[in-house]
Amino acid sequence: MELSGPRWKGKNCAQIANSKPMSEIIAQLQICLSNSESAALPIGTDFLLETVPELTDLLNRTSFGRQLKTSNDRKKCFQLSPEETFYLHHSLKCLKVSINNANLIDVNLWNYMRSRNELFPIYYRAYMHLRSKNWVVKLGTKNGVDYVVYRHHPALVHSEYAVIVDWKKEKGEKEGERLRVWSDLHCAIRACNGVAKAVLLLNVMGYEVTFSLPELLERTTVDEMQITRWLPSQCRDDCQLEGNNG
Amino acid sequence: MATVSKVEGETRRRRKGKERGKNQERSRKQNSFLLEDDSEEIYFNPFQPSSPNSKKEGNTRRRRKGNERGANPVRSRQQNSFLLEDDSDKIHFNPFLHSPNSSSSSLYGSQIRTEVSKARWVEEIGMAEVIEKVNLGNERTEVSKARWVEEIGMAEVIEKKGSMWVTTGVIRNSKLYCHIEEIGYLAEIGALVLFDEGDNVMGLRDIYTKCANRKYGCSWESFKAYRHLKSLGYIVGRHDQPWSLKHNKINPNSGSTADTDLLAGRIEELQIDAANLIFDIHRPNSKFKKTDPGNPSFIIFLVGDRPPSRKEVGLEKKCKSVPLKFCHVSHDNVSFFSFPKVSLPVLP
Repeated sequence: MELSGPRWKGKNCAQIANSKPMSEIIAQLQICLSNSESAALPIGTDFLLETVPELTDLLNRTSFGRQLKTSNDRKKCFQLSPEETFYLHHSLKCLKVSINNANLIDVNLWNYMRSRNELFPIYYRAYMHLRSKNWVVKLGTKNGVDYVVYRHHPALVHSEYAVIVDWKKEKGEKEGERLRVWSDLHCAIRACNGVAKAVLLLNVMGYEVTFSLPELLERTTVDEMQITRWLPSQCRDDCQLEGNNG
Repeated sequence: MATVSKVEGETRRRRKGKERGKNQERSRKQNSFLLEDDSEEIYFNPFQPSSPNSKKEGNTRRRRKGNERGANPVRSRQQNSFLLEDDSDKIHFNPFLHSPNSSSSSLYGSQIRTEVSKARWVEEIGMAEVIEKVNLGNERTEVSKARWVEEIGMAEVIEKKGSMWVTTGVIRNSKLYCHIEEIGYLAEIGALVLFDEGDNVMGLRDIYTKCANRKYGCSWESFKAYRHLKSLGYIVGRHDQPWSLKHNKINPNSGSTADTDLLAGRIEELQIDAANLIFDIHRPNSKFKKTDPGNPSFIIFLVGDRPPSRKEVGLEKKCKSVPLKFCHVSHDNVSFFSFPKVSLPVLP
């Protein structure tokens, strides 16, 4: 589908977003979180972080995690996904993570994440790729995909892309692990077209199961590809083909 | 064939202004279905100066007030055309509304005769009296004739009627020939009668069988794709086959352009089966000339029973100047995909 750029949710939203670039807010979050004493604790498959008002506000503005509804006026609880937790900890270097009363750092936290989900490295690589470009990344479960990405805060703009992460199980494999049968493709397109999102396929290239964290970061790349469906009945007259392939 | 009913469907679903007034209840329900409650989260806006728990904002936002809708007419039109995807809600022919022998079967729309004249045989005079004369605007009085030539796997058009031959068939040495998929499509709509070499009429069943018989460069899937695109008005020709040639060759290799050379080169390089490139498509164009067709608008790559492999998808990436569409023909559906490379911008 041809998306004509971001779809803002209201008249001022573009203005707000332009005046408050995500990178700036994230920088503020980094400072605030570094100075905070709060550490994230594992809770189920997620991580729980207790926050004070300033931190609450910044986490909301950068759209990390979900704020849990509590009656407590000052202290709030945030639920962070494993990718968000590791990103804040490792890439942004501002979050402390405490498991069984011990602060886990870098490699140890990495191993902990891996032990709970063998696909964590792949998904993290994709998450990191998107977040480092300052896109806001949320889980895409409701749309039947891995992630949905927003140009800025989800309250200001509709998401433009629904992301599917693909990888090869082993180096010698010809095809990726996802989109193996036609209904996978049709399903992704169908689900996303209904909510006006384009499907973005992120291929994590060069991944090997044995990779350590540094190897993952140095030796894998992420390839971006859109999956579009062409509707001949809607494109007869003067649709720009060059535009479609852009 | 389904063009007419699809057009009807679209008009119905577009719900023009006055209709919207009548069906406010239904359109609100339908809208809320599309903006399904749990597929689009209501995000509390942390950038609002008002109270943090302004969940009301979300609800108001979603109702999309009149003036906001006006502000984005282009976008909502695009969004609408996006949501009204042509085959997401198929119009089904209701077989319970017609008796088996009813002549008013509107299954295929206006391209096949829906109204038939009636005559009663009068044995006495050895003639039939026409009791119901149906005068159709689109009645096909012009039926072309073609004769199958097994040697070349094509039919020679012996009686050419109608304007569709501008965009159908190939010219070889001043004679007009057509491929089996073209015959199949024209025969279906009643525009062509095919004769075999013994001058016997070949029925649709025989024509379909020939389509599916891969001996003639066609397959059942490629025929379905051909039919789908033709019925939407596109100009469809076999890939890399010139529309018109003066010398007496039926399957020549000449007529290639820089683009198709590039494509051919990449195919060899990637070791992809070139037989998958089936059609060159031109957009509907009243000025189309077989002697100078220009570059195709796109080229169709027919994919098999699994989604295209990484190599095949890579072909599109490597041949950016040649618009490639990957075609999937299933039992009841023809769909086209494209896998353009993108580069998500780094945002501020």
